[in-house]
Amino acid sequence: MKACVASLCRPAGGALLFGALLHATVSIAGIDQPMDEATARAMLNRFGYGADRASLQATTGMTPRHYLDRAIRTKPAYPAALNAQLAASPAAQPLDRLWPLYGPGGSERLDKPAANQPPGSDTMRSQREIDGRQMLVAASTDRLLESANSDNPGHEALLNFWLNHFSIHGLKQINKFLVADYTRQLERAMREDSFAALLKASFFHPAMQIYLDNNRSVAADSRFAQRAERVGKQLGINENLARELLELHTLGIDSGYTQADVQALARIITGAGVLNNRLPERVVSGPGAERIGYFFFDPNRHDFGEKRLLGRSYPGGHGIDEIRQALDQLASHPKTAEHIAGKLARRFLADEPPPNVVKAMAAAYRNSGGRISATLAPLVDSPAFAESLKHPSKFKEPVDFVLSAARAACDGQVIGNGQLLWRSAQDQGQAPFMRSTPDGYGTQEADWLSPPAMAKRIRLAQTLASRPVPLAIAADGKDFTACRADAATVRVAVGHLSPETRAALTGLSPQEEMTALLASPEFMRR
Amino acid sequence: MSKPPFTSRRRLLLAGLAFAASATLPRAFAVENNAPRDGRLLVVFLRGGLDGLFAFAPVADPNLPSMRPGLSREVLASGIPLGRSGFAAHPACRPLAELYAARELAFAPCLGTTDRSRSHFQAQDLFELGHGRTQGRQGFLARAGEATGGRVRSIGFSANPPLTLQGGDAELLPLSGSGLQLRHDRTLDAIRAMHGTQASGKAIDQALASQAELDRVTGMDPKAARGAAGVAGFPKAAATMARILKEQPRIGLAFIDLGGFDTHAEEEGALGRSLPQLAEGLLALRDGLGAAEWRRTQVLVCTEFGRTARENGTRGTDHGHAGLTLLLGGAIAGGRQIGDFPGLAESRLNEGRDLPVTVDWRSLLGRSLKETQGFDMATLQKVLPGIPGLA
Repeated sequence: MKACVASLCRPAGGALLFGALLHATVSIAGIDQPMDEATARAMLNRFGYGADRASLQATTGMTPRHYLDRAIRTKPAYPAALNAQLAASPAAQPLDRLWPLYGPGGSERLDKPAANQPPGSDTMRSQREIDGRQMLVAASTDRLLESANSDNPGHEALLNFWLNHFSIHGLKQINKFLVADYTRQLERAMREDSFAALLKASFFHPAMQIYLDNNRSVAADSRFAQRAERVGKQLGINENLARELLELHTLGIDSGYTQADVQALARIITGAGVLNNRLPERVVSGPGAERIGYFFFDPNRHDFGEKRLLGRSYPGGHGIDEIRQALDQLASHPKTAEHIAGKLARRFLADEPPPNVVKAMAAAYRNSGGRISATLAPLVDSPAFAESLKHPSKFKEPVDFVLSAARAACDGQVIGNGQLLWRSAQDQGQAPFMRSTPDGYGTQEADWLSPPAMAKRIRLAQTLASRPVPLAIAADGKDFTACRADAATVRVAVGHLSPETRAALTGLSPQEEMTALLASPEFMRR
Repeated sequence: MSKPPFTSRRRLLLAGLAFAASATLPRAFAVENNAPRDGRLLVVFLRGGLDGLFAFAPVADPNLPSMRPGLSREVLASGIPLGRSGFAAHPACRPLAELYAARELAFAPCLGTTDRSRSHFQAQDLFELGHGRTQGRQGFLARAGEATGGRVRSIGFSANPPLTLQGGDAELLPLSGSGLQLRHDRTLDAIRAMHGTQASGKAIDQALASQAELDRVTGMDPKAARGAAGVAGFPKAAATMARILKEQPRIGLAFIDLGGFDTHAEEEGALGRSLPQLAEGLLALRDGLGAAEWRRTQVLVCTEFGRTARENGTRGTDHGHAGLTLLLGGAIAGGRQIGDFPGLAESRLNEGRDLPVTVDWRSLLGRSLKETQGFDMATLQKVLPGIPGLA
């Protein structure tokens, strides 16, 4: 068992107060205290993907409150050279263009073989399959590139948190084409600073409906099911999304809901699904039907009976309005407040955050009606957080490590060659949209610290320091070029070094030192 | 986090002597206590909740056709009967039926945990922690490894540490992904020095040791060991696993997990593809080990829960309770069913929806640990707290 950092092994408040007094001469961090350089560096690691000289300069002097408000509410900007590249990405195509081709009933069918088969394949692939793979890798890579180059790193870290909270799997059916739009919708909802907005953006997106099979769930006595039965097809409820809504998205496991609640919610959300391209317009705009983007509520599949969810009754005769009510009921549930507070604290404070901090966050969630900024305020304002910035103990997740290493290696140059980032993230088991199960990627040390993980990180450090891969966009914007950072600039990104690390660096060449710094224990934690 | 006692062979011996000195304990206890057995346990964990009623279907149950009109069709038509158990193996599991006939496979149709949530994640945690609670940092195989007092090595064949093996001295030998290889140079020496005795430093040392072993045992370029972590790559991974286990008899506890069993929709197609992979992989393991090693090996194929007795509206099944567990090995009491099967009648189902647990998962894990590692009940109570007895 590893010894825990003294400041985090605190059974009572006494030790903490003592710790705070010890550091009083440095700075008493608080949510409205302008950050010095060391605090800014730690903040960029905690709510972001690492520091480089430019981001350090931009963040030093900012207060944590401003940093987080901006993270939630301000749309990020990317360097012009990257914008040009992102605009040309296959994943940039709007859903309005993609859905008629690849959506249900679209023109590019799965069994329509492509004119040009990819080399080396022994089976005929459809154009849809070929396009889908390309699209998914592009969307996943673009997410990494945006996170690596953003002028608002806190925004990217929080957006990635929510994308992981409402995790979808890009390989499921046509989700390959939908993950980029899903990201855009969650990003938009995040700027509303409301958990309910995020929950609805996720629920009312075809990607989530498809991922957790709700597009196929049909009330057994609905008109749709009765018509199917006449031609010998049995249709019914699929409770997958309902269960994960309760267990993962809102209340959390062990929060007191029952199997009956899962079933009631599954009935409430029947009819929610996706738009079929061949559906006649009179049905799409028929009574009770509603289209939200390419999400489609079909009243013919809905269960109009009475339901009872978590003690609240839903009278019969209601359609999509009762789905909205149920989502609001879940979002405002006190157990949801606890669940979201705990999850934020585990990602942004410590694997085992102090219960009093989580309690204060949950209270802030409830009192603010689920505002994210209000929920994060007690976290960032807590003495435990200030302490944790001085002694970062969170083991970086693979994406944290890959992006921060690339940023340190490029030191402000625009990172444009996403292949290395994507392959690293994929190889280390955390490429965006590639988690197959709906719980999302883990955020704890035990989830990621392993011999293979360390081997992969050391290899990436070697690769970045020896620069065989041109990672940055060249000045002309047309080509990729090597990153320019050296041991000195990487030292700025890493920050304070322990005596052991400094001793181990003695006698290394600059390139060796850069490798060792990127693989140092200091750089493994955030 | 508290670690169980018996962390070293020395302390184990001391504990034995202390017991022997106590007049209240039978004399034989100290002598037979954890007498080393020359066996090996491999746990194959199927994540996602395998639909056991699809793989091994109770074809003699009159309710089967009506509850599973689509999912039982093929097994009713051409399933392979498993002795006189009333169950038949789905044609996709043909090799497993042959192992059953050879008495090298037994099955428990209603094994499960105390999970009530029907959550994948909670049920998997419960299974892997093995102490009846959902919170904890030490898995049951890690405790089992400690209980052998370092006599055997524990190994996980996955890239990330599964909960089952967390909190112990297990090694990881990933059979997929890019492996562990590192260039030995002075930069690496510097990196090792920086990490010292931190958890990350131990991980680096273990990566170096394991890779050296993998290279030697397989005698091949480790990059060729690439393969899917899903069940699709299992036959290939199982063959590699067999080579390593055969070469390294001291590996007494091993774990591998496979994904892709959460079949909410179009289950027949999904399991029709994955079950043959699973069955072929288990055969590849048996053949690769050879008769002598196979005789000292027990393989438990487990999943976090079974699924609903009824087919759902999308030709799949939803989360249930008890599920199918397979026990394989060259010297097991095979060709039999372990534990009761109460039938599919509505009144016999758990909450009218899924199979009740008739065999606690710890009971079967405990039996295999006893038979392969020589654990007595007192040790099993530490490895699997709350174990209600042996299956």
